Amino acid sequence: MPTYNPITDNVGAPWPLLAQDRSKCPYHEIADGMYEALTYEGITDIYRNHQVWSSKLGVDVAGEKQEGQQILSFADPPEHTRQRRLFVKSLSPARMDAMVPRIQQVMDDIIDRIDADGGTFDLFKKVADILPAQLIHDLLGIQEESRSGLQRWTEIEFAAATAFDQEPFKRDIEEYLEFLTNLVRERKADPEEHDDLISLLVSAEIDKEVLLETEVVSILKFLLSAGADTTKGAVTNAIFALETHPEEKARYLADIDGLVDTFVEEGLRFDGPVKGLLRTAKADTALGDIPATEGTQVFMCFAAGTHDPAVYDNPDVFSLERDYGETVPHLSFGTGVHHCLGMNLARHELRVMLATLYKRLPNLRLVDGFTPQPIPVLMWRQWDSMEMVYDGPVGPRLSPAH
Amino acid sequence: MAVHIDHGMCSGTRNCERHYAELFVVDGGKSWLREDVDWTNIDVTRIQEAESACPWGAIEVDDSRPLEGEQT
Repeated sequence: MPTYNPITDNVGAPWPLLAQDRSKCPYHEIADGMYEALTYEGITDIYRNHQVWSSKLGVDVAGEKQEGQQILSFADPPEHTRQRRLFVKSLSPARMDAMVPRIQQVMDDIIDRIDADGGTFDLFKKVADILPAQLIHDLLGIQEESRSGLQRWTEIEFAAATAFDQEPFKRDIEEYLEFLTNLVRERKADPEEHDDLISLLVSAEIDKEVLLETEVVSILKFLLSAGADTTKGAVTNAIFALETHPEEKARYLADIDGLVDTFVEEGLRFDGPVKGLLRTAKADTALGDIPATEGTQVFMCFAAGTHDPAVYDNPDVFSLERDYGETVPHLSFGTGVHHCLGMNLARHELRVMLATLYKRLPNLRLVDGFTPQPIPVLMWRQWDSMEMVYDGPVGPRLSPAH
Repeated sequence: MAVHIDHGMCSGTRNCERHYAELFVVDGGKSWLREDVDWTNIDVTRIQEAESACPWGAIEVDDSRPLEGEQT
């Protein structure tokens, strides 16, 4: 067994332990029939080899999804290829670029509410838990009155995705699917009435191929969690990294506009929100010198891969001096045919959040003595809270008031 | 066969560059066809692999046209 087992061990800074394990062997058995891959090269080889390493058979501990819910990240080609072709234009770079003014507006509203409440605030609850979810709701054209209910269901979905036993969540998930199915049917009845992503999905057609109703419902369910959970982890992790590296924080504050892009990428490399994902062998294969029979699972540990010294100089150092035009891409958006389609939206949201927080909240910093705790979940790198304080008055909005 | 890169969809993911670095290069966040490409000496299989590998569907290969490249 490795020094650090991502299934059982919950550590704030696992990288030295991962480095120890990686230096001994690129692969370790972490459970019966399950290994972890710890090198950048090993992870990317598995990630890109979808012919052997299946996503359909399960990417998280919840295992294989039911038929009808095997979409995108939970599907293999050729179904994945068909679904992705029909879905990809709805998240095009141009469409995401057009959302930036709205992202800024939502962020400014959030800061205004923090200002109105005064005092310290939990960045996780007051910012990270709000902005990404609100933008996904906007993208999907969700009515205001349905949003808090949806938020509750996505929290249940998050808990279900990280649980070995699905039974406690079954009824809530059924209700959630029923709600989404009704939404999809409303859009199908009149796709021209709304200009939103659901309408795009129900009317997408290429070479007479369309998305099934169950596929659209499952894509929405996936977006509502993947589009929010990842970004909220990413922004909180990035801020904790900055706040615990005073020299880098000073560098950032001296040139926020010049460094925010680097901050986004380095935050995602240093401590991305997804600790790793599972794949299952569809045929007998190998992990390095280790035979992997059909059914063997491997946990692609991104937290290890993005700290691989074979690829990154001083990988355990959080540095805003890295040149991301030259630096090897991190793994937070994946690689290969399953590359994250939400990447452009995520980057815009992270840029806006990380710039606006430090521009509008003077002397923003962690509350003295505060130490967050990592949540004990195999797939996620996420803190349970992030208590912060600033000195007033709050800076002006960066978008028009409304 | 003509190769077209749709910059409206390209997000600079680099799958194309990985599959066929002699033809594709990512610069400034977008993929481009190299200017020094010898279109008389192209590996069609590798172009098709790059097309399939692009997660954004940004590469289109048109079999009905002579071998050449463009990006928009």
